[in-house]
Amino acid sequence: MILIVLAAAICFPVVFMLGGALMPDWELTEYLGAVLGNAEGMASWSLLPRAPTLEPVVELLMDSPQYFVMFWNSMKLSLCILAGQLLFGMPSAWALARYSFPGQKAVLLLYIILMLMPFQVLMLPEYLVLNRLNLLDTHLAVILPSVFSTFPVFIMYRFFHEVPNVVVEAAQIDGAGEWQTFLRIGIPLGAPGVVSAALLGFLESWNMIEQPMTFLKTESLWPLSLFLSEIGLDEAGMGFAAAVFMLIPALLLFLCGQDYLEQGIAAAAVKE
Amino acid sequence: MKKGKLIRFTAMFFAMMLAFTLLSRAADSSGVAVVTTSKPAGRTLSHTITATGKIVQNQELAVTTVANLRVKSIAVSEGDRVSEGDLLFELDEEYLDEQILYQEQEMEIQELALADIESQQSVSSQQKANEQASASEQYALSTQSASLTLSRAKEALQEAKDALTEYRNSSVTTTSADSSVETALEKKVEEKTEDYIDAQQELLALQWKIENAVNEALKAAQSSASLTGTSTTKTQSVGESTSGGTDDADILQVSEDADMVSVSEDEAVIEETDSMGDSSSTGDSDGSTGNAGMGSSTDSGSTISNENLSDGNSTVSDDAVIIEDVETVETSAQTGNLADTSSSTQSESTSGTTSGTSSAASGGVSGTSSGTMSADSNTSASTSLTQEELDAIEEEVRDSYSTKLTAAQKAVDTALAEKEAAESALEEYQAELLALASASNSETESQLIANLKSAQEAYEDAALAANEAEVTAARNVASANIPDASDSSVRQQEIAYEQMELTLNKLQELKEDGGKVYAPADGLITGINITVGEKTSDGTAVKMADISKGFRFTAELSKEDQQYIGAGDLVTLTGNGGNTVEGLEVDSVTADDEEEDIYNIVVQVPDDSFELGAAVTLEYTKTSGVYSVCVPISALYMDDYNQPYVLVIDEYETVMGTEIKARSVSVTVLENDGTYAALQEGAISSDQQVITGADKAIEDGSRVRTES
Repeated sequence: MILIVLAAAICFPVVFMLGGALMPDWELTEYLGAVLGNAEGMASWSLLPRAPTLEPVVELLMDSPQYFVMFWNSMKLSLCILAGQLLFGMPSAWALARYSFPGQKAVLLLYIILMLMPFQVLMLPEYLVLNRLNLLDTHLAVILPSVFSTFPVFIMYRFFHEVPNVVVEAAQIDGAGEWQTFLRIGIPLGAPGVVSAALLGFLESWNMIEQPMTFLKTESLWPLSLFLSEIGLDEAGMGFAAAVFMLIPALLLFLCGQDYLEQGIAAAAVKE
Repeated sequence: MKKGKLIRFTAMFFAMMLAFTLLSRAADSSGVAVVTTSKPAGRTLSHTITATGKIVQNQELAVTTVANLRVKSIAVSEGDRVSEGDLLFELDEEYLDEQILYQEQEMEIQELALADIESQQSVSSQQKANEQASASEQYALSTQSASLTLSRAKEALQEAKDALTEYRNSSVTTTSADSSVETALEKKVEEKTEDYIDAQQELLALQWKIENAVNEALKAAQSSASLTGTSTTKTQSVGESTSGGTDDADILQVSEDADMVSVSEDEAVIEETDSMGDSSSTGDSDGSTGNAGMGSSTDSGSTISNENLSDGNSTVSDDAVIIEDVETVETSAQTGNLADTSSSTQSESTSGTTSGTSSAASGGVSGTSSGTMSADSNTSASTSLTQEELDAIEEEVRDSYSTKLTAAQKAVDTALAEKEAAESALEEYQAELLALASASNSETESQLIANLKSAQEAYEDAALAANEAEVTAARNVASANIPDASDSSVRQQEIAYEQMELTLNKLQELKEDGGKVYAPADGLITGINITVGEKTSDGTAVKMADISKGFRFTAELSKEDQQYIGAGDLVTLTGNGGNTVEGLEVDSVTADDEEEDIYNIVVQVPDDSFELGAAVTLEYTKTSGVYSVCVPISALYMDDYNQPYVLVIDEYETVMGTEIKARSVSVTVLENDGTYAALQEGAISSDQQVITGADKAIEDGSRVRTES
């Protein structure tokens, strides 16, 4: 029973958003005027629109080329980040998990510390570095720092660590080199970790706001997360519709990798 | 299975997003205007002026003739070239003769009419003179007859008096005292009568003056503002009232003086009467004791007074003194006629004091006061008596002075009452005398007295009648002397006659030429306003161009064109046949008298270049100096207030990348030649792209795309 109430509370924003995407402008103005506009009174809400319309959706899809510019920007950023993270994160995680070398513990500790650091701490040093590299106001300024994020390494480390030594040794006995062992044994066996790391990484970069806001000046480079910040009461309906469409890719990916993600999160939670 | 579905769905989603991306971009770009731009450049502007006009003559001549003549034949037609002396048209000679005859007859009639008017005028002036003469004769006659009647009445009165005196003188003892008493009484009666007549005349004169004053006041009211009129009247009335007050004081003084004089004289008279020793006392009916002293019988010039001893000067005394001075009456009648009341009052009071008559003080006072009153009302009436006027203020004034008029009327009444009282006193006295004189002669005496009375009344009537007659006659004379209104009919008729004479002269000249009219100079016939067989009209018969004075080209220019061309510029004229004359100088460019914004250009042309009336095109090109900022005329737009502006393009960074928007910039157009417009520097720089054309309507802020 308590769970139902909690679930309802958690689901409410989604219902709110879906309802809003189907409301005409006048209805939204009536409900949200007190918050977004200058109207008197308290904001109110109704779960179901009184006069459902697809107008905001059509307006978004047909009359807002800006939305699509940003959508594809977001896609580009997210996928690049994802690819980078996998490209650099997987080997490093494998190395940390498989090889023993002096200072290994210290490196791992450093990774955890870096993982815990919020963006606000890193913002200024990153900005200075990017400025020196002349990368400001380009997509690389957002992509590069995220590519070397420590969080996916940490997740994958856990999974690679779980790979049984027996299997690795058997491969080596069969004549597999270091790379072959990593590609043929490590990745398939650590796939749940890789997928969950990728999903979490995608969601993070898809929702990224501070980085593009700080490092991107040219509007045409902005990702979708900044689109909503430009929506006022006049375009509230379009804002809801935009939110719905922004939710869809993340939802789809989540659904695709749901199983792996759960494993990954569980793996991260059950530490040693 | 679930995963495969999800992946398909994901793929579909991304495909859909891609499709909408393209769709929305297509929709977005379809609303953007494609424009062409150019940068402003420095260049010169050239204005080409073309105007089509025609060749006209420099001078036009009008050939006129006398109106109402029949045209026999016309020798020329429009467009003909004629030399000086060529026959233009011919008039019907027979008809011309008739016209001359008719004109002569008209003139004769005019002459006769003139003579009639002159004779009428002389007759009327004679009549006028007659009227004047008869009026003055009438005046003389009526005055004469009135004075005759007056003098007859006077004689009759004198006779009656003489008869009475004689009779009394003859009746010796008993009535010796009576005669003097009676004489005094009679004198008194006569005095009162004079007073009455004076008062009556004053009243008449007052009314006569009122009439004049009314007329004058009416005129004044018509010519001057009513407000000023009122104020003046008021001030006048105030002044009069004050002067009246002083007058009263003076009169009181005078009357006191008169009292003193009369008292002293009375005493002397009493002594005289006492010394005579034959005094008889008589009781007066009104209770006052009267001492009647009878002077030495025959002395008519001496005066005897009968005074009121007990009451002094407070009561009205009935004593009367008769002065046999008829002249006084006459003079006063004259003065009354002249309406000089103040002088009449003066003479009255003087006569009252200096004649040695001890007139009763109260009588004197009332007499003078009545005189003053009438004088007051008289003067006031002269300014204010405007009974005819409807004006309220004047009505008020009239009301205020009508009381004075009433006072004057009252004075007359009082004088009449006094006179009657005096007469009754005389009658009573005479009755007493009759009673006393029981002798046989009493009847004769009463008869004589009655005679005297009637004679006196007749005299009074005659005096009044004489007065009235003179006034009426004077009026007649005045009206007869009004001059006649001016009369210009004689001169008018003369002028008409002179005009006829002029027409006749023209007709005779035509006749001498045999009714033919010739060209006055070499030229071209440009208009014929007469028709064969019809009568000529007042206006021009034939219009012709004077060739000897040359030709010129005239055309109309618009306001825009005229500012680029002026006198002295060299222009090219091209005729319809293609013949071109270059380098002709512009004579003048002037504004049209009738139409606004139209200008007339005149170019003198050589004699042999174009035909008269030919349509010719003028061409002139003027090149301006170099302007540094020139844009095509298509780049100029006009705003709601008719101010010119251009649209420049600005680049903006947006989500969609670089976008171009139009921005309006107000400019000042210095000059334009129909293709390019020169702008004042400063508004736009020379490296700014200016929109010169667009495939859609664009305005300030419109998104545009430049044509590659």
